[in-house]
Amino acid sequence: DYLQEDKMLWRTIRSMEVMAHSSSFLLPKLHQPAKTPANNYTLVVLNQQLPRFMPRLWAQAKMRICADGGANRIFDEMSQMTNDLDRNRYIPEIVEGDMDSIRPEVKRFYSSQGSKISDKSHNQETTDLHKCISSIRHRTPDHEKANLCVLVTGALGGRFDHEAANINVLYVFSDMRIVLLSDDCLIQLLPKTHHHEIYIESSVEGPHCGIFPIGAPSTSTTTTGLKWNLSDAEMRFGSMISTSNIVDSDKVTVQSDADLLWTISLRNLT
Amino acid sequence: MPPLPTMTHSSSFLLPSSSPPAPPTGADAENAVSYAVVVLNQRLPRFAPLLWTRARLRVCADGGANRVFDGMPDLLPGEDPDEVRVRYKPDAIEGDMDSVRPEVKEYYSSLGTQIIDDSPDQDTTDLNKCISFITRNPPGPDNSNLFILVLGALGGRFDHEMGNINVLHRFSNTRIILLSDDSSIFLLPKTHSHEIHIERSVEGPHCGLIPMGAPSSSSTTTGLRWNLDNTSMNFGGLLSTSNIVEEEIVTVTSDSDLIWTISLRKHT
Repeated sequence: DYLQEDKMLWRTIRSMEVMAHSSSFLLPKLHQPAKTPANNYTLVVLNQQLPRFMPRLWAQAKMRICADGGANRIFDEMSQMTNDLDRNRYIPEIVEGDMDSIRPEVKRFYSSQGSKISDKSHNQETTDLHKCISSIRHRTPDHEKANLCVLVTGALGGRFDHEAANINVLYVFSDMRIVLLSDDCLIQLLPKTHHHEIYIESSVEGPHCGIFPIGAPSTSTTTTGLKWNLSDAEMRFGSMISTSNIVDSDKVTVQSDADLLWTISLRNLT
Repeated sequence: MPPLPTMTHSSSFLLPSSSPPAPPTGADAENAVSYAVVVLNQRLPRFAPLLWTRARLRVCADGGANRVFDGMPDLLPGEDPDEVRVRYKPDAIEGDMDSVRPEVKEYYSSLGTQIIDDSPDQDTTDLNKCISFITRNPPGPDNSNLFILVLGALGGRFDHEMGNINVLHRFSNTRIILLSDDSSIFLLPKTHSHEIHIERSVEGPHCGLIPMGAPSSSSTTTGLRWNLDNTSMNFGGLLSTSNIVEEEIVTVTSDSDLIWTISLRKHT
């Protein structure tokens, strides 16, 4: 009967945990909310031109990992961005990957400066990003896993199959908070297992945003806080997906029967 | 179950102009391929002049017109910029006109470019509108051998990129190829068995097959270093990325629409 069905539906909604998201890690340290452990992130640098805001992201990270050729990027580009010729100030804690892109002199330099060189060249099955995320997860004690956040630069653009593989890492490690960052936008996974609350830092992100069912279609997605909200809507490649949407509130909520990719544009970041 | 019809694919349009592109199936002149080019609002790839010259119809989506105005002379540095601009004049500029610079719009309009002012609409992207325009105004007798080459669809804002890939799915009966400096991507609809002819001088060896939007429970390939054999692929599991093209013809059959991607060589 209807009453029974309604009760069961209500229990399901109630039991779905809320997952909160915030990009406060993008704010300068002074402006970060006191409560949020916003500097509790690990930074992974992949092999593409560094985004404009790299110096701040680097400075505020708990740990820095260069994935293979990402080390070349820090070595070559960081001093220009910071007007600081002293490479010794930008030493990653770890350099990890299959080591087929990192230049020998770059590897020698970071090794001599104390970076741990984690050579995974024996494993050709997974991408450098996959290896880095896997190691981070492996090294993190269980009680700290819930607070873990990984920011990745250089995952988007470039070769399309690399981009797809990097996005796939978000799906493979869906219980971790991993954010892919470019000069133009950030992307992260919204797993279907949770009701999502996305707190918008309007000084550095928005208003352009989108939601995509990349892995499988969604038969029902509901949002609040967007200019064009979805209400129990179907989304599917080949039909409707939410692109060029606009954030209309400080908080966006998303609930769906499918894993979704969330993206929002970035601005005013140096 | 009857075998699927075969669809052949070729990137011969990327070959330098000294080797004119051959139609993929060696057909006679009546089946000759015709190209249309769409330019979106990102920096032009290095082969933009080549494709523009090959095309019979050229459309800029809004700010794509700025990119042509600024970028074509840069890509042809030995030539007079004004002459280049006249020669590389779009047939149409379509969009809501909020990105194209007024002087660029005026310049092309005075040369005869059609200006199509469309208000922004949540349901269709700029690329979507341009594809619709081209299919309604095909450069050849019909759309059967029309290939639409899109520049500037990848990279930049991710929601734009996803919207552009969705256009491949929405217009799955139209040959649309998204091109960047690094990669070429197009849809392999599940309705067909695919033969992809590889032009080794301009593309490869890195390639991939991505089940964008829905999982694939069975895909089979030949011609790759790591072939799929009735293999399932999905986000969260296996995708075929960092694969390598080994033969001149790659074949793909799948129960799901797949995105094929191949790297483009730097000297293209």
